[in-house]
Amino acid sequence: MNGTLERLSDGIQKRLQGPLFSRVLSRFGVNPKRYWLLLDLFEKLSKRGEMQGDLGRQRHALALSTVYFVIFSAIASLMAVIIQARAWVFAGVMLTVMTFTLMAALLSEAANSLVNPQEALSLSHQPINGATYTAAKLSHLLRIVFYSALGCNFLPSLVLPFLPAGTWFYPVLNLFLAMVVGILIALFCCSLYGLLMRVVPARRMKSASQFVQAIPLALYGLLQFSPRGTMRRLFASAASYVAPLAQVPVWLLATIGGTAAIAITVVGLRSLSADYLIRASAMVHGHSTATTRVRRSLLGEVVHYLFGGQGGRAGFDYMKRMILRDWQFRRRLLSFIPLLFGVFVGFLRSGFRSPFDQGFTGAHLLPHGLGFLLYMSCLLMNHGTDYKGVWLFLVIGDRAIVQFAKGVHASLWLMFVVVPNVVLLPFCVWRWGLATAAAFTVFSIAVSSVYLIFGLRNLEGVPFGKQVAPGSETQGQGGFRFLVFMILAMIAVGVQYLVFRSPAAVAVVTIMLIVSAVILTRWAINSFTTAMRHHLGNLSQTSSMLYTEVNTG
Amino acid sequence: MSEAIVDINNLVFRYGATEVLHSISFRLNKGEIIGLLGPNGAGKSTTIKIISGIMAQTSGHVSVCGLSLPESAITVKERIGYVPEAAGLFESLSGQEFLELSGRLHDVEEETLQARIKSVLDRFGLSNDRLRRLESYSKGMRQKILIGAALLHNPQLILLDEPLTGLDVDAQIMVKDLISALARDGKTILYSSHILEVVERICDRVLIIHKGDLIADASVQQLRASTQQANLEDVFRQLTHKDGAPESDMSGIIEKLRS
Repeated sequence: MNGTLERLSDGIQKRLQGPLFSRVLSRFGVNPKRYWLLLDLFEKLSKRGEMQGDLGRQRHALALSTVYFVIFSAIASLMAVIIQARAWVFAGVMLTVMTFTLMAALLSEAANSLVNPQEALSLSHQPINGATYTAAKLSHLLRIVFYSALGCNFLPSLVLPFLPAGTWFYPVLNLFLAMVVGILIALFCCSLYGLLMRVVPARRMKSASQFVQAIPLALYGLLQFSPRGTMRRLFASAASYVAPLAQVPVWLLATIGGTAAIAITVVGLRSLSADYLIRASAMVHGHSTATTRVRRSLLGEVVHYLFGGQGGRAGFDYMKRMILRDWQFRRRLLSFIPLLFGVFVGFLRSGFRSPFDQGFTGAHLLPHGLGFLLYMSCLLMNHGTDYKGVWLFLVIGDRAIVQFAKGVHASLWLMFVVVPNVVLLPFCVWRWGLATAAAFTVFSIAVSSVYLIFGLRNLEGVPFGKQVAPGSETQGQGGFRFLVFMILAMIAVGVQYLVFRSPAAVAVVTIMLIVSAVILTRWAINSFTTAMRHHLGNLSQTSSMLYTEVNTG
Repeated sequence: MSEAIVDINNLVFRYGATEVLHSISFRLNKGEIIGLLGPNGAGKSTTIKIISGIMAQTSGHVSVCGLSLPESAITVKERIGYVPEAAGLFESLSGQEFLELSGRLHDVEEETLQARIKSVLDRFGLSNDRLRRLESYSKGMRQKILIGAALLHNPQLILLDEPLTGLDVDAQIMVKDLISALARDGKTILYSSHILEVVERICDRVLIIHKGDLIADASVQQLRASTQQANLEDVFRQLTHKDGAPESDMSGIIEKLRS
């Protein structure tokens, strides 16, 4: 099967390399010969793990995400058949879901390709024009569009003729529409960064791109979790401002809107193709002008005295700074915005109801929300932008590595467990009284500490010490771990709901959790230390320190 | 006889099927500045990485400060300062923060560490830039930070792999003075470089590695006398180009370019 697909892919590529497609490329200012050379180069770099994580070039990772889409669309199709949804409504819903998902994925992918162009530095002195480079660099986005559009819409297309108001040509029409919408989204995402490059200084591009990536996710969070009626009121308010436009014919509005959209996209794409390689260096080497502050951190002092001396303080400061500053980490953490938004809004909507109240309250979710954030952050912390600096850990003693591990744990515990709970404590005291608030805070800290243990187990070496490369193995393991984690977290939420019916039960469970956390933390720190040693051992003995023998056969 | 800080006997290193170092032996004594020379790919950086405990040798005996490697690599790392060639840095940290990280990982007491960092930054002229992130540093400034980080824990053995890369003339003079001062203070310095004039001027002894073999281990004066050459560059050329002068290769390239 794989062989057939490979042959099919090679056949298509050979056709594309022919004179017809070359003429099309040339019309857009792309040099066909160099375009194919660059595509070949990026493919090779990606296979050898040298490229920054591009989903479109990681075939296995892309296949895995397509499988998730297929499972989701299969369930949706089954439900549509059962409830006999109208064909065009169902198709519209699936297209909307695809649009949201694809927009978030492509904004992130395009940012990684365009705003962090490591390869461009090596190529910027070569006679390659911006159009050729960006065309080659962004071609993989089309593969993401193809896989996602097919994964999300293939099964729904098959069931469309069997739904009310469905006809025989709907499957072809739906798939065609999905591809067109996908390509338009890809073009829009690329043009967006093109426009940004026109107006934002190169050194600010990384921050600006993070802001752009956060917009659809924040919107999604707003749509999903805002109090009932908020969106309707917002739309009504917006509609009142544009009410005079109701007098204008729809076809005229559509024409003006469409022309503006096309113009914006074309201007954006032209910005990318014009002088991209000249800006690449400034973007990669672009830096924040903000200086750091020399401040003796009080928490740093605490870590120094309680969690492993100077090495512990090094771990604490390292984590604190990298969490706030590492571009890859921040970029990947953005995808959790909707969920965090949801937990926060859920807590507010429950009106700070006491966890001892009848029924399910936001307080039941809070420790687990923090736990989820910790767990996923630890997963993401394995990779970073400054992974090349990790050599520093090769020339330190083993005692320092143990102390550093303790410092890393302390930083995560203080920043993600203690500080949020302590910040919430005054509100809890205000709403629930001192006894309930104190009991809940101690319980929440104990639960989050247990989650941290699972998070630490996910650190596979020096935090932020590996290059981002979402291979199939990592994606698969990540997906499986996430699934197991979610099931366990749901069970934990249920148990908490039952426990908070009796103060005595809360006291007993809290003590049990504290004891478990203390014992298991030692085990987790040991495992983490071993993982760091293993990572550094690999680093010192493998190709990256010498040279890589490439199997050219 | 001086105290040996590094003692290497029959060191062999293989990477896969390729033998990078073929049974080399030498020793470095306390307070010496030793130049490590060799053409690209000769095995200099590999030798330095083995001495620093980063990589383990395939066979042979390596001891640093009386401790065998790779068994005592951890303890050895606490006693050496290493300036790697073209090392990456944590770009999102400032110069001050990187030095703090390095010093704390070597367990230097906080007060002492801050005093040493201040001294390093002052001496290298980086005090005004100490709060800027490393991503905004020039190549030379980064190199100064790397050299500073290697010295903060007062190591006995200092391994310098092309330390003058990217430094301006003033900084080069300063680093050379620093190396001499460190040697006078009893530190041993292994200095790998392609800048032969500097090696000739500051090193007590020179090791030349060529294609994985140690082909010379003597003082500059001894090498000049034995090869009857006027300077180290000519000595180096004679020893490493026995199988053909490089000029003839260059003329061949010019001919090809013209054709």
